[in-house]
Amino acid sequence: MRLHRKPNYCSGGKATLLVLLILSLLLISCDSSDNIPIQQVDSSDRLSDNDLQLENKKIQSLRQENSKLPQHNNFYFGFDLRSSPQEDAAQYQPFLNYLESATGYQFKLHFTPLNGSTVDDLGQNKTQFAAMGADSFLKAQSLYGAKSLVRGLNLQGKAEYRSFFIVKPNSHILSIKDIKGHTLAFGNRNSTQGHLIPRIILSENGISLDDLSSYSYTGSHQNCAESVVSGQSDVCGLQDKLAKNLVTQGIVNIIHSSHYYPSSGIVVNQFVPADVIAKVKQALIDFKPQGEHHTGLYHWDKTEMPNGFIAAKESDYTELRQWSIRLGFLEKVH
Amino acid sequence: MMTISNRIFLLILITTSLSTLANFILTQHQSMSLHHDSEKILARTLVRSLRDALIQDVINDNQLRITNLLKSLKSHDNPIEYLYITKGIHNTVFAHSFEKGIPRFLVHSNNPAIKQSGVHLVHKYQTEHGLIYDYSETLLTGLDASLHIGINQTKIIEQLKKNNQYILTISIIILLSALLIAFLLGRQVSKPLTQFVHQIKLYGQGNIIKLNKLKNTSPEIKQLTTAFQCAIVERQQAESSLKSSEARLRGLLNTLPDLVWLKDKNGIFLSCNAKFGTFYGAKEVNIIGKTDYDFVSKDIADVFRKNDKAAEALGQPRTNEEQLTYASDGHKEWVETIKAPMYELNGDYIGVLGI
Repeated sequence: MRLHRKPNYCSGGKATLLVLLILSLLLISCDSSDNIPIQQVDSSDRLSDNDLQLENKKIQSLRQENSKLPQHNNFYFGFDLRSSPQEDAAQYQPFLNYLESATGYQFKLHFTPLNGSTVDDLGQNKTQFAAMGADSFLKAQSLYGAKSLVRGLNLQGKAEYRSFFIVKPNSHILSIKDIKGHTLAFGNRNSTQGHLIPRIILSENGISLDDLSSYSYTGSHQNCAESVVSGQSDVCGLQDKLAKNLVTQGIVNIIHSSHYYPSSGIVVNQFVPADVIAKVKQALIDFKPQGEHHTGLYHWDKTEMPNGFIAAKESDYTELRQWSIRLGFLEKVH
Repeated sequence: MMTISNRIFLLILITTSLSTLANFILTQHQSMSLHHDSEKILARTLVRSLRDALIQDVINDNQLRITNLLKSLKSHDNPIEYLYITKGIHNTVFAHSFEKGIPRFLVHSNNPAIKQSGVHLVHKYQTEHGLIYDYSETLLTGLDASLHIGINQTKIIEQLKKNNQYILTISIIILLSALLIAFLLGRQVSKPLTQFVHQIKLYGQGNIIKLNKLKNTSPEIKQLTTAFQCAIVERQQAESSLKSSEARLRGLLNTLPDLVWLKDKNGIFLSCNAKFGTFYGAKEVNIIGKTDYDFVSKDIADVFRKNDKAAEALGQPRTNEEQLTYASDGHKEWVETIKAPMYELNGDYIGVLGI
């Protein structure tokens, strides 16, 4: 046996090559490039704001022509803002997805500007369908001939709601009669539970706005409750659901509750064909948010229609309409 | 053949170069990945932080407020080249951050419908200001409004290049430092071994060497030195023993009253005792290397040579009677000579031993 072996100088080179090969493979495998091509563009070609508006109109008409979607099957869905655009959209979008699958029509959310009106959007055909309270519906019906398709069912399975007057737990105001000379907060001026029904309560109890030291519109039920909790207002008229929650937490006391009135529902404008209305109405009645259609919904139990819908009748709104006319909220009656 | 110090140097050169190269490549790659991630994070953070502020204004068509907000975010200090919002089902530009009008290509860009939430890279534009990555995210599902953010890649890459140049410079400095250390270390590590080899060479040349100094350098060298010193001592003892043995043998031979000699196969004297020296009238040192023909007449030398060959041919001792005349004093003696062929241990023929 030979004890001497030739030193293998090649092994070092091979090892080096191997290391380089592994490094190359690692780099290739880690390549995170995408397939988006680079477009050569001229950024010096600018459009002034006026030119931009003209160009946008051209683009809109061009893209409108190129759009292959049948326009008659596309509907916009408006809604009274309850929380925030994000939160409301998160609640309504899965609901619209259900409507799309149930009817075969396309539904898109329509966001009404703060200085706009859900009622006007519906009347001006910016939206064809809308989720709105009874007060808004009465206005939409009065002004634009809208129809109520369905009313929302609450957790007890009833298509009605009411309003409460609340005070701080240590308040000396113990009943509705005591609020004269005190400050009163409402929610949104267009809200049924936050304004119309509290106004009915005042009227039923012979209290006018002049009997109060002051009153204010806080914009929402939540703001209204906070104004009482913070001491800015002595009393707040708001929706039953939120009031009960606050009572459970010991934050407020209820001093008065209203009668039951027709709950919020889905309304359609006069431009939608009857066959579409029928199909959508049936889909709404078939909607089972606590059952088979629960998956994918977002906090639907916090809406005013947690148990789905029931068909609405014209007679449901008779009393409320009379109150609205009496209180001067309806300008025109159809 | 390469010395150990050179091998160490080469080894460190290769490993350091490879690790520095790998480190540089990976750092570059990592910085590019981070760059892609960071710009996406930047775009996402911008969208998330602006979304709530923008949504209500977009719904309210508050173009002026949005424009002011977008313009305030664009700065020369950051890589954000522009921000703009498209709105409506036709994705037309609603508001933008450009001071001198929006570029036409952005107005006409076909932004793909993005179903998934989150920031998406939708376009890459090569402009005279550099390469712009256009990120987009829907502001709110159902709102038909998207925020677009153009991030200037060229600015980022220029910054990255500066960083990479810095990394490269540092890498080269580290490499050179490592090589210098490797060179010095290699020399330092191999120095005792080199000194040891040098001492062995000196010893081979018959010089006196000093190995004790090397014992403190490293355990391996200490072992080698100790082993070598032991070998030297053993050799010296063997030499001494051999010399004693030779001296005793020489004394024995010289004490003998008989003539004793040894010639090789060519008749050249290899050895003889003092008595034989008196026969030829010369000292042993003067006899060795010479033949009978150098001391006696050709006739007598021929007889001696003939008897040597006869003993060689016979392969065993052979006896003769010869009258010898001593050169030292001229007296003559009749002697009986025994000539025996002599062999090495391995059987090789040496010559003829005469007594």
